[in-house]
Amino acid sequence: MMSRLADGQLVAGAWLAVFPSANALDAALAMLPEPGWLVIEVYTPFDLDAADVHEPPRARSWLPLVGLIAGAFGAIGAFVIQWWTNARSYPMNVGGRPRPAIPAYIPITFESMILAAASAVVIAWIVMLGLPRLWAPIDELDGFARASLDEFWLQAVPPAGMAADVATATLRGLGALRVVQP
Amino acid sequence: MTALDIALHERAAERAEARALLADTSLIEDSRRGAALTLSLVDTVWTPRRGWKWLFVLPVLLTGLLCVAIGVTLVEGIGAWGNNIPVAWAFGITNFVWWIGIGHAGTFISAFLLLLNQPWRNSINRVAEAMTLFALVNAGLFPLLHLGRPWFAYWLVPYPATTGVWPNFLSSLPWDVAAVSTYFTISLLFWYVGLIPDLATVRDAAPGLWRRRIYGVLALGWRGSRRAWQQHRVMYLLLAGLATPLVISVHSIVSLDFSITQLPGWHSTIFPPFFVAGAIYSGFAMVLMLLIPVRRFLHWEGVITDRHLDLCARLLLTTGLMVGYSYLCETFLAWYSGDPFERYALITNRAIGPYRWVVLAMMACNLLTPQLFWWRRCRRSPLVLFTAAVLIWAGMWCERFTIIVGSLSRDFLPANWHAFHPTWVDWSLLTGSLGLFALLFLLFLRWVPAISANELQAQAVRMDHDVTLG
Repeated sequence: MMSRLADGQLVAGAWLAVFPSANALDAALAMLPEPGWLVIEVYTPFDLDAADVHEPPRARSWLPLVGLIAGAFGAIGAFVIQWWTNARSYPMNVGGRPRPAIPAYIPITFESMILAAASAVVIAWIVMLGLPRLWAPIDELDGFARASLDEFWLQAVPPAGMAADVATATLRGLGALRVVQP
Repeated sequence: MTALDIALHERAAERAEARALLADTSLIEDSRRGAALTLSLVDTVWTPRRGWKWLFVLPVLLTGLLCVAIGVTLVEGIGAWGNNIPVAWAFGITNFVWWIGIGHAGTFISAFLLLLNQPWRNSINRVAEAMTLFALVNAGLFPLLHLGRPWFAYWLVPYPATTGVWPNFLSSLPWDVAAVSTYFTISLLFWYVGLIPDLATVRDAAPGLWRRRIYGVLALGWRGSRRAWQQHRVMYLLLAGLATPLVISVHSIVSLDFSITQLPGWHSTIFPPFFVAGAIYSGFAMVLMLLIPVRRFLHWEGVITDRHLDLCARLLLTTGLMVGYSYLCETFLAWYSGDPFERYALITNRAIGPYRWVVLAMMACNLLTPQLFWWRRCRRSPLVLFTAAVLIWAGMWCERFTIIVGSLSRDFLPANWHAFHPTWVDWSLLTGSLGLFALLFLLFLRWVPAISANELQAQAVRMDHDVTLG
């Protein structure tokens, strides 16, 4: 089970295992929960779900709702601004078009909806992940920089009472290149 | 068979098709994997290829020419251009429509193809998105200069002025402002959020403290946690879903600048789809003009393969046929309408008018050239493709010129007719904008990971897995 910790946080008692490939990490993720390991987080150079041959799991996210609400505000706001400025505050007769000329307001209403929705989604994503976060405890671990290149890092807490050498042997047995206990 | 069975069957077929595409090894011919593959894609940022500085010479000179032409325009006003009455739009708006159309292929590749689960976009989406951004920079320049007093451009935005006057939203010109500014903002966001994981790779792999610091700040502290990737995927798909109707709307709105007027040759309901097809057509030509030299110069033939060129050529052929159908349709409708002005504008004027050579070039480039792509050998020959792309790219500029200047110079009253002759400032702005585009694109190639290494890595893993399964 993944945690809701901020990116790069280290959990007391957690171990980090470094795997050489996505397949090795996948296998470890499948095997670890059964003996009681608590998987905290994984760090990978690419989206594991995009590389997965199976249907990617549906990620729960607030982002679509944020986009929907912001898009609605953008559209309504743009429509009201056009209606109020051109039909109320300073009405103009252009080519005998009616006031309000609703079809003429549609393009800007649509564009504003898209602009508001997309901007809100990106801002919400940044806020949700706590970015920018230029430093985190995990950055201090030797070799973590390779997690953005070709290594697959796993942070997990072993079952209570498991001896350190057993935990290390378990992770190595699953194909870990290195095991780190911060 | 119930509706659910049919839906499940269709879904299974879609997945089988996607699997077949992923197992297509011709999309990644490079045998390297992992760090070797990633580094070969991002090391351009700290290891420039030999002779790269020489590539900047011509673009810098042309950008200098653009600055001179802009300076002359600002000092003398648009009287320095060849514009007249009735040809008030001329080169300025021709260039605007042409550049903004070119940008459309970038969004098509990044958004449409992402939603359609087409893995071949992974090697070329970043280049295409950068092309969109730089094309939009150029596109925005021309209407701004065409205002005559660009320092008052903010008048187009509704702000509470002391005069109490607001922009006229019944005119299509404020629609353009909303469309182009939204398009640029969304394109920039889409490009940047897709780039963040690769900026993190550069941060972690590049030599030099300052380089790592700069890319570290730009990467916002991305670490590639699974939660971050999951939310990134959701956000990226949402942006693609929003950008897809946006890109259709932008050139539709640009076409409304013309079609909501009464001018013969412009007043047509076919314009929005006609313009969108033409935009993607010219954009794919530009994509090919960029990809072919880039893959050769950076030795990326293993990831931008002949298969990619082939697929781009097929889209070029498809959109070319759509554009050809539009030419046929608007000519037929002009004849069928029985309106003498429409008939003159679209048939007589184009056949024997003063710009008939431009029309001829447009027809030859846009209709005949893509017919080469019925042959596989032509679709996979970089030389043929590059030459054809240049012709189509130029042909689409001729099309914009024909629509704008051809129609404006011969409106309802013969007494009102006036030919347009571009001045050196007009030509300098056009060629200078090409220089600015090339300069921005070269800076992008030099300082930004130009291929999405993380998406390509994921694609390679899936491809290898599917190939192993047979």
